[in-house]
Amino acid sequence: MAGVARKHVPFDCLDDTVQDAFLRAYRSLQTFRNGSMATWLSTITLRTCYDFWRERYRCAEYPVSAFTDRHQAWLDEAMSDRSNESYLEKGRQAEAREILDHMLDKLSPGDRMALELVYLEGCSVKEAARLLGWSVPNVKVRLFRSRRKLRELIGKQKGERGAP
Amino acid sequence: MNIFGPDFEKLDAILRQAYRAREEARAGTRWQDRVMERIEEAGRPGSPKGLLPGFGQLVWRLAPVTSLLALLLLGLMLTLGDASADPLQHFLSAAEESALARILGV
Repeated sequence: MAGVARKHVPFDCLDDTVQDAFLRAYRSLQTFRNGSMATWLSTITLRTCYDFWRERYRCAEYPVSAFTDRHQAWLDEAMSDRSNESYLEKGRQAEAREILDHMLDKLSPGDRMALELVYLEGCSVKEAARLLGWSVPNVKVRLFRSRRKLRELIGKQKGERGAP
Repeated sequence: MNIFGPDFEKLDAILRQAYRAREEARAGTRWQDRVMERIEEAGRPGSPKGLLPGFGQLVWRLAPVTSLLALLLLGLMLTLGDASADPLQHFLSAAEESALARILGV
């Protein structure tokens, strides 16, 4: 459960999210039917992560700001033609994660979960729909919307930096 | 599949790699203690909480006895035949009746 949650929520909220997911699973034990316990627990954990972002979005505890100069410099460098070997270092990965989190914060909780599952984790659309309890068209719409938003963000960034 | 499209393949790969690197993060063990505390507070899953569900359970447990008693009383009324007759008369012997009459002053 922690393995699933740690990919979707910030590290400082991991303990609380795993705790909530475990309690939810305990309360729903009667609804568990024959099948894989691991899949059932993954589904509950993912939905708890989704609720975490919904709650956070509602409370607006997480200020969504524009890219800082540091972020912009990083993006410029990453988008340039240099080798990406330097980005494999741990320190650079932390920077990359910061940028990614910043981008994901621009998305709605649902769009974020769909994008993370399909594009970043490599799940199929059908699998993501099953895990999140949504229909396949719903996941597809969310994926389309989130990708468009991120492309706009990057395009805007590139345009701003490219402008004299 | 790329998130940002074919123009940003490199950026896509870097961010994807950064996302996967997060798997190294580990949850602490504090949540386990807190979960156990919450489970102990919550009781067994599916068990009712509060006074009202407990009262409901008691009513249903006593329902067969109550129904049986009601049927017995109804049968008694029917065997007596006369609705105006006092059912107590049926149980009391003459001695008991006179004693009661003395006590109650009837």
